[in-house]
Amino acid sequence: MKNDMPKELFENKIIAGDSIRIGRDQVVPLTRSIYVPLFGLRGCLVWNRPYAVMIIGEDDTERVLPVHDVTRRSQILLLIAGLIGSLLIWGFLRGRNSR
Amino acid sequence: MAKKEVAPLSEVEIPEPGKSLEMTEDVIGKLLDTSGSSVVYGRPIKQGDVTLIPAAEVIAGVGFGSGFLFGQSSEDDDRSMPLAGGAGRTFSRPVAVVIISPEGVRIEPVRDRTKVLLAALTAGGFMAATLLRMINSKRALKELDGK
Repeated sequence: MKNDMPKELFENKIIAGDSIRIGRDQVVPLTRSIYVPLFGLRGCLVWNRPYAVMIIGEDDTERVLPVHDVTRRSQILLLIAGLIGSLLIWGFLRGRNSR
Repeated sequence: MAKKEVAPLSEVEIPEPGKSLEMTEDVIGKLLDTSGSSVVYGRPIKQGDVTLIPAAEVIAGVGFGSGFLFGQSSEDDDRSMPLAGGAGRTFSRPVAVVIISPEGVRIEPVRDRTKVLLAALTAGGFMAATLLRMINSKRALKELDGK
């Protein structure tokens, strides 16, 4: 399916992909899609990532398994730790320097 | 060494005026197609009773511009030609693998040790730079007091 040209508005939505039948269950992959228009209509940024997997049982029960991005989470935690560490070092040594 | 033959200009396909914008739209549309939600989950891979579905994060950035070129090749010729151009880039990174087996469905995350190590080095660099800066400023203050 061909994408349209960049749209005006920011979009953040969850899209269900094609379901797969495995045995008696149906597995539906879910994607989080973020669309950010840039510079008016002269550019855009599209960010798609796996959100979760929904399992629909024979009796129509739904179970959602979230997809965790462990690498991204570790990166963010490390960068926040570095920032906090820098602030602590700055605050501690600034206090000592001023005495 | 044989000379590489270059096609004469008359054989090169030059888009008609007004068509360049359509071509740019077409190319940008194709680029956005590569980052669509349908490519986040790959084709299921079946091995016996187990089915694997790879999941990846896909990011695409696109920019384009258009305008008019005014020109006059002769006294009788006064026309403008619309021009358009664009560029884009797509990134993708594996995030997890969905494993479907007779025991049930589970999701195994993909751990990229290289990216985590780079983030750790960046964080360490920030802290080391802050520490060095504070030590240097302390030394400078001591020298000023000593004078």
